Amino acid sequence: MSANGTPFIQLSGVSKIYRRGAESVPVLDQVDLEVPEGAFEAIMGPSGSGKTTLLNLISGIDRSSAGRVVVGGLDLTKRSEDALADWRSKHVGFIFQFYNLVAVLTAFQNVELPLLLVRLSAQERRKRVDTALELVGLADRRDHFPRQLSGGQEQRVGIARAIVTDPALIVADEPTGDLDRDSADHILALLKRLNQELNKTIVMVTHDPAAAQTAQLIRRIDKGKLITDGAPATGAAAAGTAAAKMAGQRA
Amino acid sequence: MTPSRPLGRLVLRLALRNRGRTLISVLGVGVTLLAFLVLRTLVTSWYTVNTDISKSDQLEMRHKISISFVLWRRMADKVRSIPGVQQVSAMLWFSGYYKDEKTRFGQLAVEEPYFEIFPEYLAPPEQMAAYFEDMSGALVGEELANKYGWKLGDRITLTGTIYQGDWPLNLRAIYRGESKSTDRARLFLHYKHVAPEGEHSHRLMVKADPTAAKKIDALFANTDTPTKTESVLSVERSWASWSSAVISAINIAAALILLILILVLGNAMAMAARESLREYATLRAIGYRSRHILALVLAEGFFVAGLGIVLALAVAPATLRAFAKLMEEQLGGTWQLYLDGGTVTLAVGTALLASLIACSVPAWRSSRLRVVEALREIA
Repeated sequence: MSANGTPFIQLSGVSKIYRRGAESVPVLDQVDLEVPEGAFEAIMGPSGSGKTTLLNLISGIDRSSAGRVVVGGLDLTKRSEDALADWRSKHVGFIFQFYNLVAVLTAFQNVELPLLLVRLSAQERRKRVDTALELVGLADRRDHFPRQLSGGQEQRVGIARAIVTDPALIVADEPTGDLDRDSADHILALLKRLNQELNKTIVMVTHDPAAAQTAQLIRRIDKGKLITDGAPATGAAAAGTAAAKMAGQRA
Repeated sequence: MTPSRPLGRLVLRLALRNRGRTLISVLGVGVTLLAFLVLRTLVTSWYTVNTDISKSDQLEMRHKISISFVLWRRMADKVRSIPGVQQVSAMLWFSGYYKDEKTRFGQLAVEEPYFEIFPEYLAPPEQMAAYFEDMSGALVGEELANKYGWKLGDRITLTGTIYQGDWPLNLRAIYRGESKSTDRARLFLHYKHVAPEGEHSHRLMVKADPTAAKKIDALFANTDTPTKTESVLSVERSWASWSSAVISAINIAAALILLILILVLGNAMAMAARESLREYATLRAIGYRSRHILALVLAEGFFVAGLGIVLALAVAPATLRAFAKLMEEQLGGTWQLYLDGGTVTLAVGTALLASLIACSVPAWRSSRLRVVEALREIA
């Protein structure tokens, strides 16, 4: 809950139906969900269950067919495309399964991308990008192109890009789905730090039970319905210098 | 407002993501625009020559029955008696060659009054006086003199085809043109030198009030040499009209070239936009608006088009010189093809417009992509 007791993310009676010609394909069916501010929740479910669609609605890149989606007090269902884009640029960090880095840009330039939408001096942009790269442990790889990085390093660049604008919400779609166990553990530890040290609200979709255990709460979805609220996971990561800097910048 | 320098860097990086394709696209735009420039320069040069060459008081008399029938020089005396007529000169086409049969240029045997009728051939008075005094003298245009490295006093030997044999001439004067459209690649020699008896004339050139043309033709209407007298301007225009089909064909070719430019660039940009789907979807997800993507694709297209335009403009002067030389070798005469400001403006403006048309569809489609579908497609 936020300071005033309202959930940070609140979905009420949300349904999503895709249309393929004359055929209607229901993906989400009357979903109700409340996620408090600063939570780290995992959503699990089989392929086609609707978990990514749920994440898309929460992050404002898709619209529900029915119901309300309110995030940080903002009703996303009533916003225009441009208003949603502006909102995402300030308040949402995205982490993708396949990293989605721009291949022709360096790690620094990739992380800088969201800041190009904000009125900042070049010096301030550089400072923020360096801090984000330091936080994910890639300060020495700032001038490397994605092809020169391992999968785990690429995903860390993706995380740096997600946090560089200091968003309140981070959505992660299978963030470890393309990584080996060691790299995945590294990424999950990083997400945990972001949640615990910087108080980021994180919603993560995953197939991986081990990854889901990193979250404080596991939710299960099947055939478009949220069916189970899982047990909270345990564990916390140590605080770091870079995290402290990030918190300082936000303040 | 977004910072322009990093976005410019992003455009640059995206444009150079596939350097081979970008190079081919730039070459495609450059070559098609170069072809457009050459064709437009041909058309522009043609109209310049055929509309500015003459003044309305310059008349040309020819045989009414056939352009190949000759007039008689003695007719000039009768023409001079008509009110409004100021000067008359006989004129023969010498039609010789210099050293090589392929080396042809305009050679006219004329009388002294010819240069009062056509004052656009400007030479220093002392050179003109030397030319008039020497019956074997020649007056040549500066372009011709430069081309063959002739200097005053040089001996130029022409080989006649109508007037057989070798004709050694002394270069006495070199003229420049009054305007850019004046033909500066002609050689003038004395009528009396070519036709000492002074009997016939291919044309009679007249300086007169344009209304005198009818009086001239009336004077010879019932003789064995009926005439047709027109202003030089209208003769040139009729030639231009005759050749309008060729000009139309060139214009159609130029339009087709623009279409090719649109297709080349449109295809390249469609491929680039397709390849960039992942980037655009990601950018849209992290907060870029539709118009940002639209601007990125358009900027990338204009970057490629801009390089093509620079390439075309850089090689156009040398290409036009080579083209002019080729035409001289193939068709004879001297071709003057210059890239003028109007043609450059038209070509650049048209290329930018074509680029806008070519990029607008991929840019619009990229900006309108549905983020969720695009992300799902590339996953």
